[in-house]
Amino acid sequence: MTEPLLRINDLTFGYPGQEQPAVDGVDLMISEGSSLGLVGESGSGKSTLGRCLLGLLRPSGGTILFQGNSLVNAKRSTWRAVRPNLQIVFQDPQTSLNPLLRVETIIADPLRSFGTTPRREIKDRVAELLDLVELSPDMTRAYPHQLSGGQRQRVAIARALASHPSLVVLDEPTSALDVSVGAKILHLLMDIQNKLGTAYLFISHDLATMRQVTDTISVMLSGKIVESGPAENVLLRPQHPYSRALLDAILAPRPQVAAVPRLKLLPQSPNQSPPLGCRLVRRCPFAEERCEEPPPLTEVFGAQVACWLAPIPEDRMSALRKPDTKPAGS
Amino acid sequence: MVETLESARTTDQLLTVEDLAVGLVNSETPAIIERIQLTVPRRTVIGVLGESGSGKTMMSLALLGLLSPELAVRSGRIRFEGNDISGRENRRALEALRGPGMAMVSQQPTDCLNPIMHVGTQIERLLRLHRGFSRRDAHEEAAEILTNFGFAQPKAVLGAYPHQLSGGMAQRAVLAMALACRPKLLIADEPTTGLDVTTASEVLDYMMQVIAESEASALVVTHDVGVVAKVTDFLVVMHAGHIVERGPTAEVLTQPSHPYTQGLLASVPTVAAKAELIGIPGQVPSITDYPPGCRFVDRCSFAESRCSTLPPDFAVGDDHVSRCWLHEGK
Repeated sequence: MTEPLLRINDLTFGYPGQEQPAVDGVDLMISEGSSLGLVGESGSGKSTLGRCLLGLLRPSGGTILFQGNSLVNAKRSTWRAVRPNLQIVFQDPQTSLNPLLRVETIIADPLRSFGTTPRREIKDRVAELLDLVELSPDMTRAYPHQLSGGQRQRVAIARALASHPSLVVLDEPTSALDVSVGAKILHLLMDIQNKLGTAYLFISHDLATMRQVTDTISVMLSGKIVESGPAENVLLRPQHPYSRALLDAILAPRPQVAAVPRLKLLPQSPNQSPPLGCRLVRRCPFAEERCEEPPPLTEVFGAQVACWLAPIPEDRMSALRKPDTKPAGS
Repeated sequence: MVETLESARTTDQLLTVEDLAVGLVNSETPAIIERIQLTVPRRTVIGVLGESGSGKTMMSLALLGLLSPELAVRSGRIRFEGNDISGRENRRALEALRGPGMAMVSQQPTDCLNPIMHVGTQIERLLRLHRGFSRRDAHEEAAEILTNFGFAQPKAVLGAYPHQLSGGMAQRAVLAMALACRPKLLIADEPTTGLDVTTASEVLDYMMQVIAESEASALVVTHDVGVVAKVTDFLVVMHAGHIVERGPTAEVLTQPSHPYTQGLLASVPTVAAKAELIGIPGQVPSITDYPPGCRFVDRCSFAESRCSTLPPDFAVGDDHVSRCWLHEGK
């Protein structure tokens, strides 16, 4: 078996002064040209993981192997070699583009600093990139404030792609955009992946969006991956109560017809010490005594699930139907 | 069709808006929002759906008389329980309505809270001002209200400063505050934007429960199709300051008529299917170059010459109208 593009093993990172690590023994793998979706609520550690991968935070343990380079405690020279291949698009293009620079300068910046493109070819390359992200060539002279949100995000994508990266981290690339604009950006990202074979790591809390653009999904909770597998399996037949709860909380854009049982997490009470076993134990309606111990990884429907109960017993799911039909006053 | 709307206007409606237009003060520029028709019956939840720049927030602020000084109502009548509240001469009447009549929660919950005052003090002040509670009773009532909004330790929240609350807690606290005076109409501007899916669905549940219990109506202003599908009875779709379609929520979402509504709904990703998301071509026109007739004309694939004249409301179903020439004579 060939080595994947990116392999993360047992990665750990803790913010100073916090009892529990924000990223706690995470394993991830991305192959060339594929997309992985990292999903979870805010505070689950997904962005922290992305920052560790990019070298913006220094992990306290574990390994990151990217194209054969070890990135944990890597030397500056390693980072210089790796950076052109590992790029990021941030959530809010309003704050991730320098307001004082014109579009052409923003996109040409990585080309100049990496030195991968000869100087006299830079102008052509910028034009090529604008064309790739479907922006008109007369936008080269524009400043970010003259662009719409969608156009700004296209500039950010063009900048990330300038150095022909093999992996781009996309941290909530559409959540700051309107839905009709976000749809076009997702479309563009998929087109680019088909054309150039760029691999993506999507970081998002939006499962419906992830369904459109990812091959595999890893669900993160309190620094740990609780379920990972093919996107279709994880999103259509989630086997960890946390993934199930995330899916059941999505508000469908069509009126609901069938009353299917929904998994609702129990309210979180503050001032409790973090659990040592399964991180969901205090919010999970199915929690048992053994859940105080770290759960083993079980393979269900092609997905790895960290839950003592997996797969979710259907009879216990249907038993949940009642509390959901609580009097809404009407 | 026109008849049913006409007769509805004369019956006991909570709020009616007739031909409202808002534009810049002392300016020849076209009105930013115009021809706004809206009726809110008692005990009804109406959704206002639109993307950025659609004018949905401006409309809500106009209803409350809270437009910023550079904006003014150019024409139209707003009636609350039959009483005219538009125009300077009715300012007193409108002032008395804010709180017990109409209350609004804005998108940023922390913007609605005074950062240097305990959350409890802020809720208690409202209760003393609008509902005549004594200092001690107000404290008890505030704790009671927070309990209803799912706070396990209401007294701790009353003694907290806004920055000590999480996003979901702050949003629930603001909703609790807005509903503390038992308003007849709650205007909720993006009540769940920025919250995690699990928190968002909890907040909506609490909100709907309290609205139903107090027999109030609500205007839920949002860009999130999932939110309107979940909580609203009737839907108003806005684009570039015009209402382009309105009708019963279930019908509009399953049989959208206006090309904009169709495009918007086709942009919404769902978990169920990996579909080609289309998006809408172009962008919302800026207020300085609104086209003279239908403001969607430059983005619409059905555009023809008559679209440069404003289309009237055409009935496309029971209580369901679309403002598009395509539906003329159908």
